[in-house]
Amino acid sequence: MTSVSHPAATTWSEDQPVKMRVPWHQRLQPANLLWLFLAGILVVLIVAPMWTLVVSSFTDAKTGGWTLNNYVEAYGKERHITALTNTLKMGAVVVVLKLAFGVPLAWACTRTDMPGRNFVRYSVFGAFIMPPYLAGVGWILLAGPNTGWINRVWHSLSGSTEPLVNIFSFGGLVLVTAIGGFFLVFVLVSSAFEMINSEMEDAANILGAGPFKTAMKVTFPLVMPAIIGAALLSFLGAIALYGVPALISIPARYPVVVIQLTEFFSFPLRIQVAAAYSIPLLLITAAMLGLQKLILRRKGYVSVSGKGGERRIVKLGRWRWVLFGYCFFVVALSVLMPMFVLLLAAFSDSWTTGFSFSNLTLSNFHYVLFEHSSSQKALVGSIGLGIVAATVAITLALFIAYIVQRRLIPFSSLLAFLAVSPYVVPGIVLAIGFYAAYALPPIALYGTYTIMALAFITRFLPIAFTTSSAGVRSIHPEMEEAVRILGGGRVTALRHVVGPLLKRTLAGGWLLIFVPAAQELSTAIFLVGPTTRVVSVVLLDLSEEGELEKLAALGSLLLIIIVAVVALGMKYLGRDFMLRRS
Amino acid sequence: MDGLVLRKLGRRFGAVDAVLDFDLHIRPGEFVSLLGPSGCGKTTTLRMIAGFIDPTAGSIELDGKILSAPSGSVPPEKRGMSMIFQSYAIWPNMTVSQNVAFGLNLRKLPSDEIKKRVGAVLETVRMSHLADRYPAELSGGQQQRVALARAVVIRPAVLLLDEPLSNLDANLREEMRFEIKRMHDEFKITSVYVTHDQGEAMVTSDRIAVMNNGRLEQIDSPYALYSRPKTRFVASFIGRTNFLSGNCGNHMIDFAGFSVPLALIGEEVTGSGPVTVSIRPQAMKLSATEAPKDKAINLEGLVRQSAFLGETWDYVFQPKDSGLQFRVAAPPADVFQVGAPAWLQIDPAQIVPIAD
Amino acid sequence: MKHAITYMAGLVPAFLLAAGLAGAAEMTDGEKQLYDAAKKEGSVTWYVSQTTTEFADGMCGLFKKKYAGVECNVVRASGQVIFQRLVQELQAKAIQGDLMSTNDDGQMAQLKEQGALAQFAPENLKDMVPELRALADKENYWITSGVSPLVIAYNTKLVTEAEAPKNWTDLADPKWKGQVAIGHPSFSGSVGLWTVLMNDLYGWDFFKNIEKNKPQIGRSVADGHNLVASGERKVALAPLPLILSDSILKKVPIGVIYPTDGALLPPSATAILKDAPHPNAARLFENFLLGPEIAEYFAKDYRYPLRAGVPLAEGMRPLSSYKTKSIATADGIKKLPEVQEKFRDTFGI
Repeated sequence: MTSVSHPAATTWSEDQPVKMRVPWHQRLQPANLLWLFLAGILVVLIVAPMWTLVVSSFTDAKTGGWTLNNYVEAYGKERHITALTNTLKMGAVVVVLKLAFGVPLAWACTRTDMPGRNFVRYSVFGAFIMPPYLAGVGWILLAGPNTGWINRVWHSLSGSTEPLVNIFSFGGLVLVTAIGGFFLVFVLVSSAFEMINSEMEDAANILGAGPFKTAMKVTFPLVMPAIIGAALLSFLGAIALYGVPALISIPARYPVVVIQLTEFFSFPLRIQVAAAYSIPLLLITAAMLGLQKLILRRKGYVSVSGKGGERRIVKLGRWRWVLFGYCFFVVALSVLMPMFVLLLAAFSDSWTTGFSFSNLTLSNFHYVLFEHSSSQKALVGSIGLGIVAATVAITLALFIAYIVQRRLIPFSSLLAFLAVSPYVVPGIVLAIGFYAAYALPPIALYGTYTIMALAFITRFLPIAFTTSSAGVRSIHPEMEEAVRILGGGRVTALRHVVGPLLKRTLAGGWLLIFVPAAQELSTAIFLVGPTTRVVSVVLLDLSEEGELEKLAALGSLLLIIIVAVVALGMKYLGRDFMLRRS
Repeated sequence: MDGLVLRKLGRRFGAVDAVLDFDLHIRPGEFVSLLGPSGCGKTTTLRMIAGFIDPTAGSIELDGKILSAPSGSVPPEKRGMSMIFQSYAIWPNMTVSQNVAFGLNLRKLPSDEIKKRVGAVLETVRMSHLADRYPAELSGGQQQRVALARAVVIRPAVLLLDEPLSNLDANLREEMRFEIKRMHDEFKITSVYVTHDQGEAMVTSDRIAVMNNGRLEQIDSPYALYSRPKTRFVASFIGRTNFLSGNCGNHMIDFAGFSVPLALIGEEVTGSGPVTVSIRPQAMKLSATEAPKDKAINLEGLVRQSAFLGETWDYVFQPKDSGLQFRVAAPPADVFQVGAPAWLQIDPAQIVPIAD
Repeated sequence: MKHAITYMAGLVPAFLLAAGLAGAAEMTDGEKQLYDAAKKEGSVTWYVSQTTTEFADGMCGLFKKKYAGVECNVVRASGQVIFQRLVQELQAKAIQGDLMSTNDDGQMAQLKEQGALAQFAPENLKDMVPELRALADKENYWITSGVSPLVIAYNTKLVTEAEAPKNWTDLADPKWKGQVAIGHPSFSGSVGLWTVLMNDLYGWDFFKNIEKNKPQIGRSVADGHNLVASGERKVALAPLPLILSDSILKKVPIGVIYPTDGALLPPSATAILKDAPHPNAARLFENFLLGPEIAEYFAKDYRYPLRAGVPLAEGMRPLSSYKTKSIATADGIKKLPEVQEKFRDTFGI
């Protein structure tokens, strides 16, 4: 055996150095405590209310014992089951409508040479700013069976006394629900379209596929995951919406789940039955998520990701005007028409008399600003809750996203799961969970802004988390390691580097939460107290009294404030922050 | 003991040992490179030194104090080190001077002192005129200089460099190698440099630690590594070489077709049996005629392949009646046609026995 | 005469102001004591479904004017919603309202039974119209705070007086197909009582027949008159004062039918909650509801004043001049859940 002898390598490793113990407080850094704290917050925000919801659905209201009676009571009546099947039917039709609105517009705005693409983008953005119940009121003004503007024009043209369109119908319900939410489809599908590399389409072209075949076989299959995801969210949004059914489904005689839930919330108050009645909504959404996963896996879709590469625009020729016509039709239905009549009504003595100078007035604004008992406070409350919910949700989400992305603690993916889980909880169900968990003694948060703020934060945490998570992912970990090796802790890194770098992303996310939070109705409806009313609830009350002009004025004020905040944000963030992928 | 000491250092990820039984002593002021192919554990080692990864075995000590051990580690921010990252990690939200001043601010130095030091270090890296620029307005090389300035301005106990030049283009990389060397000569900071580029390692380092599969193969000065590789891996990773198998016995090594007396070989070899040696292409010379017989080994054969590389010829030579093939480097003037007969001279002093 | 009315109407604010100032000077001892205690409490929160928000805000305004230093918060919603809110608060043991006014005194009876109400006999009770006072709780757990007869409203531009329905059953006439509006007994308290009354008079077939006309179903009783005023519907179930004030003050084309088979007379009730956070302010407010200022305010807005001797507004008919019907409190409580359920079955909502 040959061995090669080397000069004696080292002898030093035999010396034993002085042991320096790492003191416990150095290991238990403030950052680690923070993570624990965050996990606690998520339990308060998500686990406890949902757990209480499930538990109370099996709890006997009188004895506190275990029972199935709540389910028997919830589903023992045919009417209650009809409401559930109606809801599913409505949800399904709404999804179809939203896709029919959102997908062509997304394609037109991202992949074609259609004229007026920016006009369409901004209009769709208007649909995001306008809460669904205001669109609903606009459509009541437009298509009320006897005095809606459309019907009056129809009556005078045709001489008929039958309404041409009736908003108080199944069709009206799904139309108004769909126009209030197709924004999301547009955004999700647009960004998927923007991710597609034209080379994939070129590959189909070179093999002999024409533009139509390419679109059908390549382009649309590639955005399919986005479409399926958008469809799922559309469905969830539709079945959980409260305002539009309250306005339309009662006169339309089309009972849905949310209206049935208000019955359980009226006298005699049956929270346990309401909980039992809302569990299937949760199960349905969970099943839909499962279905989505199944579809995407079976078809072997890989979600489109990575750099978009070169994208070419489809030249439509003459068809560009046809497409523009369709886009204009959609934005007219969803934004232009309802917004126009709403504004007109806000400045009218009586909306039915139509437009004339003698009919113009500012008295509605004067009334809601200075005379109405709660609208002034409600405006402050809505904007305040929007600000608080957006700020807290974004801050919380940033910390959670950071932990999850940097894998700072074991089971951090569980935190991520928790943070996005409220996505599948309909707002109204969430409110019932919060009510059951926190409204009653011993915690007794009933009638406080706190319980609403907590519920709003929870409701919008998923948006906040998705935004923050994408932001954190975009920051190279070395950016923070550079801070740490120079002597800064994790908190220093968050404050001086991660935070500033994410400023734009976070501000964009903040606006994405602020806008819906300032308008939120579904979550608020069971949680508002007498002195903590928000604009959405006041608007609903005004609609109940039939004061549509005053409602329009208050709604316009809310819109003006929101638009002002968004305009400030756009000035800061650049115009495209919501319509394009960052 | 002074300096940075890695003692039986190990890191396991799942069932894989990324670093195993790693012993290294870096003296104060020394510049050591960790060199190896990707996945050899060099970056893991560096990140353990920085404190971003905790070891699963062994320890890291600095000037006699344990920094890292499986039982617990001093967090990176308490180590007084600094690091230059592969991505530079220049904070885009801060200007050049804010970036450089960051570490000094954390050390709560008086602001005029900070200003002075930042000015001085920017002067050293020739970036004074760009002090108020934002990183997005800088070229790659300029960003690299900022990273360098930011790292050295705090006078770290140890400077860690993680493939700092891999994102630069070839010319700039050449320039920055010397820049790093110059900075080290100026400040004498104990430095650990991770790279997979032997050229970088050779230019900058006092010693190079070659790593393979999580283990230390050899640590030596650049010259020693090249001329006296101890393992087949080191010999083939640093430059190119010819491996020959032989048999040792009777004060001779017998190869297929020729033998070399042990006395002529640079290394001391003991025992007997099969042995492998490394012969660098530069340790041999091709000529058209037989050279005078002296200590050198002369083999007759044919030129099998040739490639002109600009500064040298790269020939493949096959001795007569032998399956062996040698790669030989020759100066541009030594032109041989493929198939031409030639003689190969080998300098026995440059035959290096290696551990397989 | 007309001139005199306009003249009088112009005088009313001045008169009210004077009354307010005078009132402060002429407070009774009991009133003064309550006022002082109320000032310490600072505010009163009033849950109301009895009137519209606008009208309730006006009442609160008068209260604040008279009793400076005591804030008045109005929380207005439809009867069942307010009631549900209160039940929620009782369950949460977090009472936020001080007193509550509703058109469904059955709710009061249930609250009284639960022990949620406080007994209180305001000083001004003695000046009340005796018939109205008699509608309240005998043990003074609630007072009668108004009567708003439910009648039929019709659009005078679209419907002539001759065509207009004469009684409740006329609403089922096929000529009103798609032109009727009613409220929902599960949302509105007075509509609940009206549903009980119609069922008592004509049986459930009454609603089955109405359903053939596809009535528009609102939540509150307060939107029917708006639907008629705008012309969206030609005829509707509506409270009398809203119709009169629309037609006389706002010159809206809307008219009243006093149904020959009897307008529903739901006595509005106001009670103080036992755990009211501001009990003295609540008592002061309840007493104020029966005072001269509110009586004037009611009269001006085409409501029946609660105080004896206050004249009715021009265009208002005395209660005794047309047929009215009431539902006994106990009857209402007993029958309401059943008709609510039947209503949901018949109308599908």
